[in-house]
Amino acid sequence: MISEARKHPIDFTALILGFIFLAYTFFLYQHEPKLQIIIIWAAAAYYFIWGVVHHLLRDDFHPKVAVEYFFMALFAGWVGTFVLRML
Amino acid sequence: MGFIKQLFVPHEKNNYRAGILKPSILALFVGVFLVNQVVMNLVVMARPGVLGYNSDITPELIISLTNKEREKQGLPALEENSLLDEAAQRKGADMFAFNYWAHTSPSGRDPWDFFKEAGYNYVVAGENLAKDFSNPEAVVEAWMKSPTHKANIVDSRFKEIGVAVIEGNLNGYKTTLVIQHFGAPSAAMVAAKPVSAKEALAAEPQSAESTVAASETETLVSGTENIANSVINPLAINKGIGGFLFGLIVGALIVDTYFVLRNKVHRFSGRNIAHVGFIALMFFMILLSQQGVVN
Repeated sequence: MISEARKHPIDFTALILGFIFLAYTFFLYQHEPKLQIIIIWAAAAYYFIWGVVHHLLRDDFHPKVAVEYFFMALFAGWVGTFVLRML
Repeated sequence: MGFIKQLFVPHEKNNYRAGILKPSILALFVGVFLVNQVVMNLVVMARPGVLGYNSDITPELIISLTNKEREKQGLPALEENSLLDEAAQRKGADMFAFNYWAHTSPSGRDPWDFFKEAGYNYVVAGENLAKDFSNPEAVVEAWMKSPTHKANIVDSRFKEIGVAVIEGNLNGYKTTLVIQHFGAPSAAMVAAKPVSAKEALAAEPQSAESTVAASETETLVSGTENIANSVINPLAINKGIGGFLFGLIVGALIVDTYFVLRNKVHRFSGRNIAHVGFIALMFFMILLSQQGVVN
């Protein structure tokens, strides 16, 4: 699993930096769930776009790969939204 | 056993991809949350106040912590004013009576209407709101983290403060509202003899709306005292379900990676390490999200 990241250091650095920024903004807006839900969906959108661009750049893109990233992002976004709606 | 294998282990029958990672199963997980939401809605409709948040907040502690924050900024402490306490009490009662959570009510009443109703004449005034917090320290800390709420707390123009902490049911969930009112009295008010909230209420004719709001809150407060210990925290339920589903996904990704590497499977699929990182990010954001909302 780690070897995948080592093969594409620039792509994964961009992913990690994006995650750090999103996590930082999420905790910055603690107790403001409406903003936090927006950040959750921004993270989901960022992840989907990253996945598609990453596979296009590495020449191993297939529509079903895009579908996988889409549903992973959608699932996590929905779970996050359901939890934060309880705040 | 075959079902578990289908869900977690990549092999020819699941097209060499753990079944749990397929869109249909992920959609099923979202469905689990939808069902959970429906059940919660039914519970709050059938038994309002069963789900909600317990708290240990008093107006005195909120005022004391607020003044500590002002002290840190070199500002004088705010003096508690019973008319501002009354204005805050009226605002909280109105939110419970008309089931809203905002500075302006659905009928268009803004915070300043409650100041006027309580008989507090001001040159400048402010309002901070909070709900669902369990302790006063968390309330003031959350306000201080929010630039607009912090601006009220450390505003040098404010001289007086009033706080109300009211328990009741909002949208069927038991909650505690904290209403913080700030003000600087007008010159005419300073010159006048100080009047207690009760005296002011007795002297001024009250609108039907505010009278109803006040009496309903009293009922709600006494009603919720009896179920204070039996309240079920809805955030904890959703965090538990969300954490479990995220754990399942991460577990499946690790098992999937192990078999793909062991069997040297070549396939078109997403990067498992990226999926694990993404799910871990969401998991920790949700797990560490704290109870309580400011407005």
